[in-house]
Amino acid sequence: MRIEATRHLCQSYGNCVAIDPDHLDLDDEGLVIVTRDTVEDGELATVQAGIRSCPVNALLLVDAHD
Amino acid sequence: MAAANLGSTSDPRPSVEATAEPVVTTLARDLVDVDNGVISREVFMSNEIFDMEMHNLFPRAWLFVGHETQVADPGDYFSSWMGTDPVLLTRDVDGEIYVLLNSCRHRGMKVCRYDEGNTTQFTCPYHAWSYSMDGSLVNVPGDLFGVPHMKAAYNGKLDKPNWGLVRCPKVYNYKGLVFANWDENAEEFLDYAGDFHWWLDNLADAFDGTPGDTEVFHGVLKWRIKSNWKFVSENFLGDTYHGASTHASVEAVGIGPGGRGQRRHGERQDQGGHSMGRTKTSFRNGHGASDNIAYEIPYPEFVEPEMNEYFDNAWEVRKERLDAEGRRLGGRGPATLFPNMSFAAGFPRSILVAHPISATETEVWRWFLADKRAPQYVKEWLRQYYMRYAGPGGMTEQDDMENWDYATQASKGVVAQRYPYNYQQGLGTEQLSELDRAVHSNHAISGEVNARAFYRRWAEFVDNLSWEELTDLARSDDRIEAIIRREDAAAAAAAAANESESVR
Repeated sequence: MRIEATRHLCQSYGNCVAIDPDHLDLDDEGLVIVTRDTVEDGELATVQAGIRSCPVNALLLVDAHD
Repeated sequence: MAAANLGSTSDPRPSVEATAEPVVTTLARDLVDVDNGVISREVFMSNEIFDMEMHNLFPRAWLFVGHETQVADPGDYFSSWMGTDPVLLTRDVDGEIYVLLNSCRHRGMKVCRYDEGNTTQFTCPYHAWSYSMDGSLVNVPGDLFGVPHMKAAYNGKLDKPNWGLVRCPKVYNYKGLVFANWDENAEEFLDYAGDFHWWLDNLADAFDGTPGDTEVFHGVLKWRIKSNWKFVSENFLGDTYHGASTHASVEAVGIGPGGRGQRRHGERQDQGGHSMGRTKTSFRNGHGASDNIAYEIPYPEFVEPEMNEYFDNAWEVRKERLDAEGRRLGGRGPATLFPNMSFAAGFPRSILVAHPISATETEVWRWFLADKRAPQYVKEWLRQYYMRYAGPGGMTEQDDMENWDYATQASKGVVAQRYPYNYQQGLGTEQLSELDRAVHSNHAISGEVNARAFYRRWAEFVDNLSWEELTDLARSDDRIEAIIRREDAAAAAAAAANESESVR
């Protein structure tokens, strides 16, 4: 499992960063960056919540082998 | 003038009382003389009165918002109005129904511009403030979920829980009919409706009496008329006097279940609107109906045998069920729940809401109901009947709209407004009722008792009496005491006459 961000969709709501700061942050322009794209054991629920919190669907959880 | 609440946004949310009250120069009660049956035309034409209605009546009255079958599934929403405020009727992921002000808390943009749909998120088209209907993402559905540039624009400090969509504090689902009230101090819906609920029951229950087993046809008919909303409410409240003249042409066409030569409502012969059993019912708190719950007429005789089969069976089942409950079979209207929800619970079975736009403009919405479990051919028959009866293209409705339109044109002139309308029909002839705080007209066609009670209640709201005063005034019905006094006096006079007769 890997987190992917579609940066041009990002509107800097920041919901995801508040929920999942271990994987996500906003850069100097305020756009989302994935600071760590791997999902360790026990992190899945938080990662999913962070992704679901994006009002513009800029985040995706994809299969690592894609 | 009440200060707008601009500060703390702790619950209850401030917007409900954030509008300024109008400067009062007119009192509604001075324009309504129910004792003498005289009502000023200003009640229907004045912008000042309209403003008072918007401030004092609509944000405090129970208003019909929509039908629960319009938001059957989680995420469903339906756009409606409460007075001049746009609202969203929503169902959240847990199945709960909410009524939310359809206006972004940032710049007021309508967060949703569709008539209906399914979503768990409303994102404002203007600056993209986003509100969620998913209770797992926010505290309460309708809360602010996020704003763009949260960090840069607000330094991450925007107090999101306090900037959610304004939630209507009082929502009541009566057998699928969803009502809402902006005033958290308002009386509860069941107290507000009182014994008028018998008519709501007949509207919401299936034709065979199964409680709440109805649905609305997809789509609501919406159109505008150039007249005051109260013309509409009053028409369905108990104005059976206009039928023979206004609807003569539609009766000649024969649009009802029986076809040519039969009435548009489908009453069987000898059961028409002129039956003396059909006295009207007027409630102290403003509601009114064109009939009474003892006025029992079976369902119509249709041209189509399969329709007769369905409705004859439904009537038998209903009669048995209601008889077992000790419940009366009548009460199908037309009727109006104060102030602006009118309906008929028979043929047609339809809800009408007269949304106020201005003193002389109204947006009329019509919903049509059918039994959930009715076969498709029954639904289809009803759908076609409803359309030829009601709505902007409906033949009966067109008759009524002509009246309201031209009455408005001919009433708004400066000279015309000097002369009041006459509401004297049946003054002092009201009859006692078995229902709580209600009386009946003494005639099926004449009698404006319903309108007089409606405008009395209207003035009490529009003059912004407190809930304590409103409740107090409607605690008893002084019309009942007047009837008893009148009957006692008549009995005494008769006894005296008898006595003098026997002395002779």
